Amino acid sequence: MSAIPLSIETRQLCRRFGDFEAVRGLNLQVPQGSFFGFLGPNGAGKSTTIKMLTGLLQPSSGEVYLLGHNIWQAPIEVKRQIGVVPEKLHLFERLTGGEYLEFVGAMYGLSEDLIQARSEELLELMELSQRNDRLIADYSHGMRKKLALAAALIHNPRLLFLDEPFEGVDAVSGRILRELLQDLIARQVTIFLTSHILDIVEKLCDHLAIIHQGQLITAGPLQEMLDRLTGETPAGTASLEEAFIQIVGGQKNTRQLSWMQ
Amino acid sequence: MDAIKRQQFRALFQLKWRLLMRFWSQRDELYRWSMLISVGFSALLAIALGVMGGMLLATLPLSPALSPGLGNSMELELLQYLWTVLFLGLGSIWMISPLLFIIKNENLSLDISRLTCYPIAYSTLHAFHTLLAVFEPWSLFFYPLMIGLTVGTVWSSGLIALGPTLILLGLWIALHIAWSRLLQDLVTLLFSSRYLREGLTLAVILGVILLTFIPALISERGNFESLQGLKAPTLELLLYQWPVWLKLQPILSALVHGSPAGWFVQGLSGLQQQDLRLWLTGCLQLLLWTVLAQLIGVALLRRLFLEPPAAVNLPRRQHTARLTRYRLQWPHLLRTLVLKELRTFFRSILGKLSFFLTPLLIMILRLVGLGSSPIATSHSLLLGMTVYIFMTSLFLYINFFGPDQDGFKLYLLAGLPERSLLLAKNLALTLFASGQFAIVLVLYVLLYRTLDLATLWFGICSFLSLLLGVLSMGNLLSLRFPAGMDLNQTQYRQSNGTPILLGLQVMTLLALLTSSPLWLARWHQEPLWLLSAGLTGLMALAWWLLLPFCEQLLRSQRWAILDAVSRKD
Ligand SMILES: Nc1ncnc2c1ncn2[C@@H]1O[C@H](COP(=O)(O)OP(=O)(O)OP(=O)(O)O)[C@@H](O)[C@H]1O
Ligand SMILES: [Mg+2]
Repeated sequence: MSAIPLSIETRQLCRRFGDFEAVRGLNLQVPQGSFFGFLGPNGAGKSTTIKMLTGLLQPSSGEVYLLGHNIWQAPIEVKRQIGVVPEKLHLFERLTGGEYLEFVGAMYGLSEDLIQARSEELLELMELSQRNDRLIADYSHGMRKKLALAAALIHNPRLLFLDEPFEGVDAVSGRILRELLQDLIARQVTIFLTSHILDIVEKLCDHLAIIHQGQLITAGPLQEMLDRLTGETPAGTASLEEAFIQIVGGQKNTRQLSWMQ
Repeated sequence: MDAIKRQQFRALFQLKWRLLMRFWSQRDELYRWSMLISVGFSALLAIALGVMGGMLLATLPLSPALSPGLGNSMELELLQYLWTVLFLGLGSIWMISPLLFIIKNENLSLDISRLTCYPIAYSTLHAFHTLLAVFEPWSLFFYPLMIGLTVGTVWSSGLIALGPTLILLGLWIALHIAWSRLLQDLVTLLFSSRYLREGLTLAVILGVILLTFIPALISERGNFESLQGLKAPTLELLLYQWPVWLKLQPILSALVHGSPAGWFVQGLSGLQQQDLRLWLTGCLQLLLWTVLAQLIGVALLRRLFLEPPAAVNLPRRQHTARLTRYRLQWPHLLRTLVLKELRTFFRSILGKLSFFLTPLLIMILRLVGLGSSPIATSHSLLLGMTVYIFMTSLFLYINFFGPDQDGFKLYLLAGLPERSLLLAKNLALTLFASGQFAIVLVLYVLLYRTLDLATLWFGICSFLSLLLGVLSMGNLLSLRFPAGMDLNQTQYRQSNGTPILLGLQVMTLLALLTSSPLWLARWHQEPLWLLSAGLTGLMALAWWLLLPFCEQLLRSQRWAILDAVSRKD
């Protein structure tokens, strides 16, 4: 075992829905301060795993340790130290962005002044501060994502779970988000991220895990994984996309629709 | 309570308040007025009835000292039984009535399952959840009665009783709010887990069918003729020798000593007799059961949040095959739309719940013994059950575009004819309700009486009249007050309360209208079958005449509907 303490550790984590096994025997180890990319095709079980890690869904079996605590035994202490951007953003549509951050801040027990200062700063950074009176119901998709991320950061968490944070976010905001996340990593925050945009993952993450049909296929430092693949590919250069498609067994031959010849 | 908890509580209430205010300020004039009128009407009715009933009750003395004329203990016992049964009935209605509003009138509520990602204890969430129930409309209806009781009690025992009365009433209210929440969560949980639901429903049905034979047995054995053989100087002594009474008395006295209503009555009688110990016992018992409900509730809430309903209920293959084989020869578009509606209903939790709620409630009512009295005629009994069908699934009729949510876009994109859309919605609801009606008929025969041809005819006619009336009203309300609705969201989700209240009020009128052939027939000596058939014809005509108008409305409102139903929250 490495000397670096683990931020996330799961042991034989399983989740069944009826007789369907969405996640099977997952053993994950996420070192502290790492930027961890969690990849897999649609329906692989990524969001289900994140929900179990953050205490929003009860595992069928297995254990989850976050920052050294078992989340199912000490949910409140753990939840105070983590931030989550879930797949389905649970925003309150009839609040304004500022009001929403105020509410979330209060949930984490921050003082009013602190909430005020931080939410102004966050809204400014996410470029949501113009037209303060706009309700979340009238936000665009990307604006919602940004607001959810702002809410996940307001209590200064040590561990951040992001389920597809870049989906629907424009290029400018995407750049801001990336810089923000890198900044957080520099301050020893651990980030656990799922995304389908492999370019971003390749640029940002230092550790990777790939899950397919509920099972962990491979996990480890990004560079190691790429090196291993470079050895295997004839051209000698492997992109993450190539590697990913190879690992999850995607078909290369492009199919066509029968009535569109 | 530590500081963070207090802060969380404050933020929760503030959130609630903001959402409520926004909801109100975003409605149009028509909505606000109809809301004011329907709420005002209900409130006035509740206050008048409540205060009257409460004062009447409170002046029935429970203490021998206050009624020197009646001073014997037997009399007192009888009064206690009477009160207990009354409060038991009231309490049951209080606890069961939220189930009627199972979609709940959610402009007042918020989806608290969203709060689980924050570091907030389940007990805090549950406390908040329960406190909100204090303001739920069904509870509001019972407060005037409590005010009446207070006034009555203070009137008969002096101002000194005010404090203790309020404490007792507070506990009584708390108990019912806690248990009604618990019941709601329980039902939701049962209907979201398939295995649990199926197993339990089966057990309940079997149990209820067995149990419902008990009242029949009692009434078989102890008919009134047995009274004639007895000799006793007074009515009470006579009563106490009546064989049925001998069987009933242990049950009643168990109720007085073992049910919340009984403790409440004990507390009240302690007040009237100035017996502190009796009052205290009553209070403590009520408190105990409230705390118990809270404890169970927290555990239940936790389960509800962490065990999402299985989203994918895989349809059985043979089932679909069978459906396609007996395919009816409707126009293809209509058939597709109707099938889609029915699938939506039967694959969603709320759809299934509202389908089976009527049979379930009928069985429960039979169990309690309601409707078994010989006073109710077969006709009115059947009519009552039919009204129930529409009461429990009213929310499907008055907001039928709600469950489509974003899917409504498809109708606009595909350029569906308005008439097909309306017809399909109406047809699907007709099939849905017909299924319920068939079950009701079966239950009627199984649990109540034999069904003769005349009653069956009347039943079918009144079902159709009600259906047509509800469909007409539903068309208007759905078009005018659309709101997004998720039939799979088991918890605390936005929907609209005002149309429901409005719908319930119109529903009452419709029920009166449908029963009109009954009294017309008695009054004018016209044949009942003709009258009820005539009414059905009239309702059909009304529905048909209204249809073009609804089409028009749909055409002019479609963008507003799209906006309303596809908006989340
Ligand atoms: N509540 C549920 N009931 C039944 N099955 C579910 C439920 N939630 C998820 N599943 C199933 O579990 C599997 C994994 O879903 P999950 O949402 O974790 O996938 P994902 O990896 O996040 O996919 P995506 O990349 O599309 O977001 C899917 O097959 C899904 O159908
Ligand atoms: Mg996902």
